This record gives sequence, C-alpha cells and structure tokens, in this order.
Amino acid sequence: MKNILMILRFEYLRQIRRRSFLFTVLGVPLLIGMVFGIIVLVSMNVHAEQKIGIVDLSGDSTGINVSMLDLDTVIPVTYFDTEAAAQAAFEARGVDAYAVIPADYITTGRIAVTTREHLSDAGRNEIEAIAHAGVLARVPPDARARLAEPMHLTLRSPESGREIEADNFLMFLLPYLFALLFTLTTFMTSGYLLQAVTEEKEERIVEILATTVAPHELMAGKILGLSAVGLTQMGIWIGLVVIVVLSLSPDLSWLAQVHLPLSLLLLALLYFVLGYLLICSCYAAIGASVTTPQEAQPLVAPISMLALSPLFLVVVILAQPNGMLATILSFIPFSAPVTMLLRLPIADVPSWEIVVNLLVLTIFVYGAMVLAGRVMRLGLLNYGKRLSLREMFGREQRVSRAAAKVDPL
Amino acid sequence: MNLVMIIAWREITTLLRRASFWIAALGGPLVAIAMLLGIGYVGRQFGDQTTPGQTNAGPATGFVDKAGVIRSIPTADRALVLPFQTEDEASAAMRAGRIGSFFIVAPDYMKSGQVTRVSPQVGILSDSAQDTRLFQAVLDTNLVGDAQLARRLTDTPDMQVHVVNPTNGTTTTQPSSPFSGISYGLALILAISIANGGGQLLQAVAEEKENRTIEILLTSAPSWKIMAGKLLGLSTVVLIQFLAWLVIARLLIGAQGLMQVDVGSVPVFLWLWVVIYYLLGFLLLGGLMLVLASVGASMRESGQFSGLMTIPVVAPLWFSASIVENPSGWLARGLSLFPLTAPVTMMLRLGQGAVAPWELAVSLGLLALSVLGAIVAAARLFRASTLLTGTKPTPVAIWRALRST
Repeated sequence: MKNILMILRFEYLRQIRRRSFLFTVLGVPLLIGMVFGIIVLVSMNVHAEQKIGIVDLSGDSTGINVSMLDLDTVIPVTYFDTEAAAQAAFEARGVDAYAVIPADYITTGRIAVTTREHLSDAGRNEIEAIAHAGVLARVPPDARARLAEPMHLTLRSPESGREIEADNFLMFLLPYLFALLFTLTTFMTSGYLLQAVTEEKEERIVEILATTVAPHELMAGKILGLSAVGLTQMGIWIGLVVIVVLSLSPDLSWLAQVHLPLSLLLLALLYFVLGYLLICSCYAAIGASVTTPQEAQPLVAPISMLALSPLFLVVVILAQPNGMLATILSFIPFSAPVTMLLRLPIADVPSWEIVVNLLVLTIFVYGAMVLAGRVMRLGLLNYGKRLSLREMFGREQRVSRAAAKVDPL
Repeated sequence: MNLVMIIAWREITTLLRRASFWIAALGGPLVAIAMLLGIGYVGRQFGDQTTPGQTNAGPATGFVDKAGVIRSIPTADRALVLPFQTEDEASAAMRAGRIGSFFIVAPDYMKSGQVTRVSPQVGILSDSAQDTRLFQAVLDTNLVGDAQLARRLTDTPDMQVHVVNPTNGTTTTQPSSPFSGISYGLALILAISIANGGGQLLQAVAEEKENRTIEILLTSAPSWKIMAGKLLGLSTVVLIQFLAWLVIARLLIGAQGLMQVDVGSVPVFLWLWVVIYYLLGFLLLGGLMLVLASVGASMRESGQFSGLMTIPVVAPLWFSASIVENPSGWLARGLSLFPLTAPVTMMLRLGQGAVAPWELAVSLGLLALSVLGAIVAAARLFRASTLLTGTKPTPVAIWRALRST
C-alpha cells in the first residue's frame, strides 16, 4: 500500500510539472476562447438587408393582405402592390431584397425572393414570419391566439411516469455534456498512462523499479496517479467554465429546469467510474505489452473507436434512447459507459438491462485490471519483444517456458 | 533522380506495411459511413415535412381529448390516429401494441396549449417525430377548419432565392443547403487527410533520425534527395488514399436513401480544385513537418509541435458556419490568403460559388510559394541537424543553416 501511494505521488507530480501538461491545461481553453471570440466578432458585423420589400398577392380572394396587419419587424419593410413596383424600387436601390407571396401561396407554400447578394438568415426569418402572420390572419378569430403560439408539449415515459418538457433543451444537452466529459477525462488519462508505461519500458527504468515493488503495485500506483492528473485537469477546466458562466449570467434560475433524481445521478456516476477504469486498464495493458509508443497506436485504436462510437451516433441515440442501436451499444462494455450516460437522463431504461450491462461491465473491468498487472510482469520478462495475444491470455507456465526459449541465459 | 525514386518506393512500401496507416485509411470512412447511416436513419424517421395521410406505415397513435377541440379526424388519417375516452384505455391499447404512443390534450388546452405525449421513446426529436407531427396536423386542422391552411401554418415556406448580379444583371439561384453540405464534406475530408498525411511524414523522418538510420543514408544520398524521395513517396500514397476517400464519399452520397443530394449538381471544377488544393496543402504541411523533424531532437519533441502546424489546417472548419454564411467576408478572405488555412477555407467557399478569379490566383500563388519555401528550408535544416544529432539546435544555428546554400 505504501508503495502504491509512493508511485501515485511520483507519477502525479511528474506529469503536473511537465510543460505539455501546462500547455494542454491552459492552451485548450485559450484556443476555445479564441475561436468563440472570432465567431462572435464575425457574427456581429454579418451582412443583413437594410430594407426588404414585400408583395403579397395571396390576398386577392380573401381580401387579407399582410400590409394591413401592422406587423412589428426587425428589418424595416416596405409593402408594394405589384411586383413591377417592387422591382423598380429594387433597381433604384430602395430595397435590398424583395419577396413575392404568390396568389396560390396557401396551396403551394412557395415564395420567390430576389436579392443582390446572398439572402441573410435574418432576412429569411423575417420573410417567413411575415408569410406566417398572413396565414394566421385567415384563421377563425377564436383559435388565432392559440395557433400563434406553438403547442406546449410534455413527454411522459409510461413506466416511471417521468416527464420532460420537449423544449427543455438543457435536459437533452446534459447527457451529451456528461458523455463528453467522460470521454475527455478518460482519454486524457489513458493517453498519459500509455505514454508513462511505454516510456519507462523504453528507458528500462521499469526493470529497476521491479526489484523493489511488485508489478501489480506499480500498475495500481500508475493508474491511480494518472487518474488524479486527469481529474485535476478536468477540475481546472470545469472551474474555468463555471467562472465564465457565472460572469456572463449571474442569474442561475435556469438551473431549476434540470430535474434529475439522485438515484439516476448515482447510477451515472457508477457508469462513469467503471468505464474510466475499463479503458484506463486496457490502455495500461497495451502500453505494457509493446516496446514503443508508436507500436501501441494500432492496438488502442479499436478500443477508442468502440468507446467513441456512441458520440458519433449521438443523434440516433438521443432521438431513440430505447431503440435497437442504443440497446446494442449498451451491451458492448467499451461503448456502454458513453451510451448509458447519454440514455439515462432522458429515457426509461429497463432495470434488467441496467443490471445485465453493469454486470458485464464489472466483469470486464476486473478482467482488464488483472490482465494489466499480468502483462506488466510478462512484459518485463520479454524485453524488446512484443507480447503476442497467446502469451497475454495463455497459461503462465507456457509463457515462462516461451520466454526461456527466447533467452536461454 | 534514380535515388529519389528508390527512396520514394521504400517510403511507399514501409507506409503500406504500417498498421496505423491502415487504421487511419479505413477507420475514417468507417466512421463516416456509420454517421451517415445514422443521420440517414434519423432523417427518414423525422423528416422535415409530411403530408398528413402519407406517412410511412408506422404504428398508429392515439389521443385523449380532454379539451373537446378535436371534432373530426380527416378521412385519410383515421387508421393512424385513434380516439380514446380515457388515459387508461389508451395505455391499455399501447401495452397491447395497437398504438405506439398517445397524446393527452389538457382541459385548458385553448389557454395553455398543454399536450402530453406518452411514449416509451422519449428523445431529443420527439417533438418532430412522425406521430407528433401527425397528431399536430389533426389538432391544427380542427382548430383552423381547413387542412391546407393548417399545413401552411406549420410548414416552413419553400423559398426560391434569385441573386441578381449588380454588374451585368444576370440572375442565378442561390445554392440550397445540400450543395454546401457537399462542400463541407469535401473540406472535412481534405482537412483530415492533410493532417493525417503530415503526421505520417513526421513519424517517418523522426523515427529514422532517432534510430540514426539517417546517418547511414546520408553516406550514399545527398540530403535534398532523401527529402524529395520521402515527400514524393508519401504524397503518392496519401493522394491515392485521399482519392479513395473521395470515391467512397461520392458512392455514399449517391447511395439511395442516404441523403437527398443530386451529385450531378456538383460542378466538375469543384472536384478539380479539391485535388489541386489537396496536393498543395499536403506538400506545405509535409514540408513544415520535415522542418520540425529536422529541428526536434526526438520523435516526442517533434510531435508536440506538429499539433501547432495542424491546428491552422483544421481551424477553418470551426468557423465553417461563419464562412458559409458570409463567403466573401473578411474572415473568409483572410483565411483563404493564409497558406495553411487556404485549402480548407477555399473548399468551403467554392461550394458557395463566391470566389473571384483573382482571389483564387493570389491564394494559389501564395500557397505554391510557401510550399517551395518550406521544402527548401527543410532540406537545408535537415543537413545541418544531422551533423548536430542529440543536441537541440539553437535559434542562431537554425538561422545559419537556413541561409547556407
């Protein structure tokens, strides 16, 4: 235990003092801040029409014309009676763009817009809003107020009776943020782990270490120490985000929109920890089985691919959290953590499913940790040689004999 | 020349034997296929607009109308939207599999607009799922009294934008979004492929430097030939890989039902520019990577800085929204002049058809010049640095090496 703590402390301090650590911790937020800054700057002086012309020909039979509605508009609007008048104003540069709502608009839904440049989003939205107001004016007066506002939809799960407002975007953003946080922390730590293990093997320090500590202690110390590094980094980033959010909007009333039962949070935490341990142990095992970091790349790629796949398919999973794809991904140990983090906050995941996939995940975590310790020991005996799969998973005696054959001394 | 070819050939064969190359070459398209299939699937399930009565054959939906607003169901929808008297009845029907979901219209619906959807599938797009749209159409039709008017109220107008050229008065139609989707896809492939190729090149050189094979090589070939051979070999492989990705992308886009995009609408010139910008972009990043490999003492050290070179190549993708929205703004123009960002930025802009010929010429000229500069610098530094193996060159030494001929 004392040894594990010592290795933990050593690894933690060594990584924290590295230049590349500082670079990542400060550089990434700085880069993101810069990108946001430029986007904000660009969107501030984005081109938009100064004045828009509207020709409404759809009112011929009903007598309703958008020009009579006295609408509030963002971009100033001039109404014309005929297309020719609008065109003349456009050519004289009285308007930057004009839209013609044709006589058959109610049946076809088509609007023709003429502009000098690209039609801006603001211009497009305004024309849509005006056309909408024209349609609304034809609706019976008693239903008009209701139809002017969108339907207020609440989504209810039949089993638990949990309800989510369909427009509560925070509830849908949250699972995504959870999953992203998990992925970032996990891959950061496992990257450090892979590097630390292969580096020591390359420099052959590990053999000196092995004379004083047991290989599994060495592994445990490294995994814990580097996890602490990953969590520190995450903590700093989360702290920065909180500071930015607080300074931008001190009013925190929007937090009330988030309603997550405690049991759910605990379950999410469990998936987080198990997934973290699984991927870190696998990376450590791979790091111990190869001789250089380059060799490790192709071996870790399938694992990271599988673990990241739910993020690539996030749209499908968030749209149908109990669909077939989401269910399948939840049963594969490597993709289970991210998938479940995405599903849990919004969907009613059947309890048997949670039990079974937690069980599978736990078995895999245990297996990976045992494997990591074992590979570390075998890797020491087989210096300069990559371990084959048979050696990693096979019975130990056979491995030692194989090792003896390679090196008769 | 012969030496260059030998080195190029060796580079090609080693690269093809490297597992990491194949993972990148095959992994990228695999991820793309998975994402496209996923998006295509969601697109089919949650399309933008539906005509009531013309939905795909899915399970029917039900409703419990506590506000008494639904007086009749349009004939076409009667099999798909079933009325129930109570919530229990509807729940029972859902358990029996007769309906996939049901809606409860609150008693004060006219005031609050409150509707509850009960379904085992609660997801981010539930408010635009087929059953929701179908039920909303029925509800709106009852409120409005006319199906067509109700539809016009919910659907976004189909806008056709004509852009009049102020100088000659010609009219063109503003490209609709699928087309810019293709140019975004091309820019993405370009960015990933250039960055990946640069990384492979860095690894190839740094590795040889680290295990000191390079010194033996230098006894039989001059440094510039080694550089040229490596660059040639890698660009051949990476270009083939890139073209293969393009073909896969084209097949994917063309595959029925995945995306409703008319590939024929992509002009030939765009495909041509993609290849030109790709080659120049790769040569530039490759040259810079060679510089890094020469300056850095070890693989790890060079690797740390390579990220700095790759970021500008990928960066225009972060601003893609701004560039596409405003293709002739100062950001788009500036990024297309800076050589490292030019390839990806130009791909995004060319898709919008908003690039003046002089801009294209200037951007290509600057890019070509910097390619030349990077390769010359790499060759000079390479020679100087092999003489200084193990030490980290000082800025003065780097400067001196750059000036030597």
